Amino acid sequence: MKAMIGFIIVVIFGILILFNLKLEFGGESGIAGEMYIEKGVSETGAVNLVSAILANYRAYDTLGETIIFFIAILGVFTVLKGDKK
Amino acid sequence: MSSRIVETATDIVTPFMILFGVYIIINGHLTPGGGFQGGVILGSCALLIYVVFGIKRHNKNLSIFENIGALIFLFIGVLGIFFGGFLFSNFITKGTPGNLLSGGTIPFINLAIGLKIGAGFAILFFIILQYIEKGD
Repeated sequence: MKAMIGFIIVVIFGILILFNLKLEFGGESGIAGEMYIEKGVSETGAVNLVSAILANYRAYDTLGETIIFFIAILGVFTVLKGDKK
Repeated sequence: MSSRIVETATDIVTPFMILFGVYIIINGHLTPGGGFQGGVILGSCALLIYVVFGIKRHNKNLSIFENIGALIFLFIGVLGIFFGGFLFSNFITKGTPGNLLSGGTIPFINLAIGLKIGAGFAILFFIILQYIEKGD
């Protein structure tokens, strides 16, 4: 019964999202995106633009990701290895 | 749980998995991939070994590798302050784009992240599998 109610809710909201939010995929890339495409290879020297953004332009973001991963390990360690019987 | 067939197949497959993970990490600035992706492949290789051969194969010094990876990553970032002016600046010569030795600090950052994520996932799987074995 609960699964049925959940399914109905998902279908209703799916229809709402499909017909009301006209999502556009792609489009204009904006100032930052055009700058990455034009100057990315010459400024970083890396052919892979995604890697250039992740490890050079947005390395601070990658630092945050590694910290989040470290905190995830810490959480699992605390929850699963905390009680020694 | 593991039979002779599974153990033999794991012995054959594991070196290629490690090679593929290291390839993804080292070529992170040339082909799709990078530190995170290659590190996850290395971590799943550790998971395969744990499932087949048991968690006694776990190396307790693995957490040191995780710390070393994170420290190298931070060290490169702090070196960027002194040589380039801001955190994580690309201060080494860029080289010709397309070569293996190009991209300045990007390959080194990828190596550090790969070390950290691979060791981190191995530790994560080890803790969860240890908990599951203790629960039985």
